[in-house]
Amino acid sequence: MTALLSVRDLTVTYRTSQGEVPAVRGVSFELEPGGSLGLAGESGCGKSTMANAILRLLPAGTTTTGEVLLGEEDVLTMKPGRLRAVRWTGAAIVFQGALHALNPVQRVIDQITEPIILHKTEPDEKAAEKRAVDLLGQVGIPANRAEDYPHQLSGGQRQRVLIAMALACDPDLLIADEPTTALDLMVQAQVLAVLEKLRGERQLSMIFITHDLSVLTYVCDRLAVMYAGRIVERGPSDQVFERPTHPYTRALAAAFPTIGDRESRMNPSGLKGDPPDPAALPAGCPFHPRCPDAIDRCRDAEPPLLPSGPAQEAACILARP
Amino acid sequence: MTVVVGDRKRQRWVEVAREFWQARSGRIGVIILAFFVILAIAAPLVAGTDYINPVKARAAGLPQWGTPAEVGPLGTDHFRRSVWDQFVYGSRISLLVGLAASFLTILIGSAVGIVSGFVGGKLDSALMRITEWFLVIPFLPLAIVLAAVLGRSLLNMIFVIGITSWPSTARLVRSQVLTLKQRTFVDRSRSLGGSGLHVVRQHILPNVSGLILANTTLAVPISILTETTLSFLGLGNPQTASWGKTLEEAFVNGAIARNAWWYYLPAGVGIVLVVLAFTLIGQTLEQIVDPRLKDRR
Repeated sequence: MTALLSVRDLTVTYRTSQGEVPAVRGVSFELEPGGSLGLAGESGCGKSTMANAILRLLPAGTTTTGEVLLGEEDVLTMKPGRLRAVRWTGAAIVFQGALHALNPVQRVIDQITEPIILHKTEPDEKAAEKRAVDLLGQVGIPANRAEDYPHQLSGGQRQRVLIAMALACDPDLLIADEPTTALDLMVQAQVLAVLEKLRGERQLSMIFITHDLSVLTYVCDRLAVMYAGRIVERGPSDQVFERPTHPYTRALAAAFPTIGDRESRMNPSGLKGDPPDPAALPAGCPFHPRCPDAIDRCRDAEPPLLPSGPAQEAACILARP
Repeated sequence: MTVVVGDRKRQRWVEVAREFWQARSGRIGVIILAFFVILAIAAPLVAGTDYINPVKARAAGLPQWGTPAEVGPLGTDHFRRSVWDQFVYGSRISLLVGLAASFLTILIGSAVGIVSGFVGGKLDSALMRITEWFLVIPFLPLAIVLAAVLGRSLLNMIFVIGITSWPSTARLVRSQVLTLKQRTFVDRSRSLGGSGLHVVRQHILPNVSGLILANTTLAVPISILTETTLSFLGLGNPQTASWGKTLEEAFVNGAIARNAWWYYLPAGVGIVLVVLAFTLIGQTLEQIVDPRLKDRR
């Protein structure tokens, strides 16, 4: 089966007043139709940058190299008109921070019909409105809230409106950028349930970005953990979460206490230190200054992504099957 | 599903109109403005042009400085002209200049502000330098020079007011657009395939419309007052009656010393009322247009 999305050796470099800052450094992955990939990692590790790079939404002056093949076409070399057509019909994004992603002075229904009318996926405005109400129903928002303004909805409802909007043009790929981050646990569960349901119904491929590993194992088949702009570990999500082979993934997984498990509650383990400044990465493995298992050899060279278990890969010289 | 059928857009306009009428300030503003608009349109029915002409007024035997009790509704001035007739026909000029000059101001100001803020870069720098150039020119000397060069006509008056008052609007709109441009919903609109024009129409314009509206309601009174000022300084069209010109002539010919209140009071009160009406309407509209202000009212 051909991949729906294949990203090859993607690098993104921001140009700032301090010079060039590499945010994503050579990431490759593939996503087959109907598959779902979770991207995990701390703040500032390049997750959102990569998500935006897939649809070329990065600010002007950012250099992006590599290939982002959506179907057969390379998004990075598309002409502007074609790019606009592909946005939302080929791949749609659920933004983080639902309040800011909605126009405060526009009614919810007008914001959902916006992509439909723009891409003319429905014959006329009336049909577009009908579709918008359908979509709202699918994400569990009653039709009588369609005429509301964003500030009249709750946080969870707003996030679901964004999901409805992302589905408006039947995209093949949905990129969810921290869709549950600002929500409380119950609402988070609702939003995740909606996403799961839609993925099952529509054979939607999904890239799910969050720092919460437990969320990812719930919604994603495969998991990729990013650190300092690179994928450091990937594999089937249960396997990565339960049997992490990279010390960073281990720290990330251990940071979530298991409810009911007395030991993990009494002994919450975090990772010391901050993620490295992307403008000044440490030599060798970028994780070695914070790594509990670091040995001298870690300072020499950045380890490549190599098999570390059945169907699992890790970029660590100590993680070998 | 019944919510979304049919003429939803028209229903919203009806709703806006109803809300407007329900707000007391909006209602008062509309009533005052309607009164003056009707007065201006129906001028030939309620007043005549004959007694604005001093020759005809003399021929008709009207007295100088006639009080309202002696002659007609609002007495006569030093030229025996009927003040009522001047007042009624003057309302036409004041409203016309006020609206047309504001339209010009808002049109140029908003266009420059939005383009400058949204496009940014070199175009922004160029447009802002031009704006600053207009901003630092002292208004009155420019108005006097322009009026002198172009001649004293109504159209020139509108042009002079418009050309000198757009820069502040442009800067205000630009700053608002600059902050809007950074908001996520603009990124979202781009990410769903919107072109620059689409983003401006769908997201930037609705978000600055409150500001533009507020500015319009400020611009109309300012334009009317500017027209008054220019006429008062003798830069208006000498052939047409306007409220500003009435005030000027009353002042110059000593109406205040003579206690001829009927000469200067109507024009003064007229200006105040029209300005008040626009301010009230603008305030109410702004509150209705911005859904976030609605709950706070």
